[in-house]
Amino acid sequence: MITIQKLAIYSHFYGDIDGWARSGTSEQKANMRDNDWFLIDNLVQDILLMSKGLTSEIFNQKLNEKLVNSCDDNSTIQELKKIAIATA
Amino acid sequence: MRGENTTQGGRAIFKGKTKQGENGWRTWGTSSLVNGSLEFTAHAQKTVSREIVNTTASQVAKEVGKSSVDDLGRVFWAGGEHSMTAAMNFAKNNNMITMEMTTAGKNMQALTKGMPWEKAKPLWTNLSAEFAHGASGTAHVFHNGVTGINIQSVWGVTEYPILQSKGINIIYHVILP
Repeated sequence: MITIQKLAIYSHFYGDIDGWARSGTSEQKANMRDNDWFLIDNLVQDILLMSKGLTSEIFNQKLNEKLVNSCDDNSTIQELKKIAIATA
Repeated sequence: MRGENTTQGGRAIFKGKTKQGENGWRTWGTSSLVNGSLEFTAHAQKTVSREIVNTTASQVAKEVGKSSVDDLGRVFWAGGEHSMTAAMNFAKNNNMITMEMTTAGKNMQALTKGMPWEKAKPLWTNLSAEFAHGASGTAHVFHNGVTGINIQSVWGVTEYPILQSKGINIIYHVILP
């Protein structure tokens, strides 16, 4: 489950998972797993595609469902979208 | 950096301490010259000024290319903690070494822990380049086969091009965590 806390860690390392593995504090390591990182990576990429209008309506619908199922609340979804747009 | 030079048991030791940097970080460290090999222990609290970071990185980078690790096969990795752990286990079991297992790598981990990544990344990139330059013969690399690796990773941008330019034989290990 993606939380605001995990997104803060992801943002701290600008999405660089190897940076987190090398330089993450014990707290940053305890609150994150490889799989969380890759889930955020994938969602960021999908949100970016959607924001550029490159995806179908069905894709967008499924992505929104995935966001709801993957994030703990709406503020986390909004934060994830901000991160995705910032990477554009 | 303020500090003092002393000798102790045949070691030339420099103990340095920085003032609080503008960005709120403070570092201190001890460098020892032992039989021509630089040992460096670094500590950091909050951010280090860019000047101090560069000094430290330079010292660490010199150390990582020294002879103590030259004879060991080098193991690289990319793709998160699973890859790093697999690479380290492989290295330990085969008398090889990853960058993080070197003294310099351990010191860099201590130095950059919690540091803003835009400051820490160039230090790691520099160290990775030194580590890759020191490779000879065959090198091993561990990648995450489930999720792949980022094209902008240190492996992709720094290490692989160096190994390729040196004609190093690269053996790929794909892990499926």
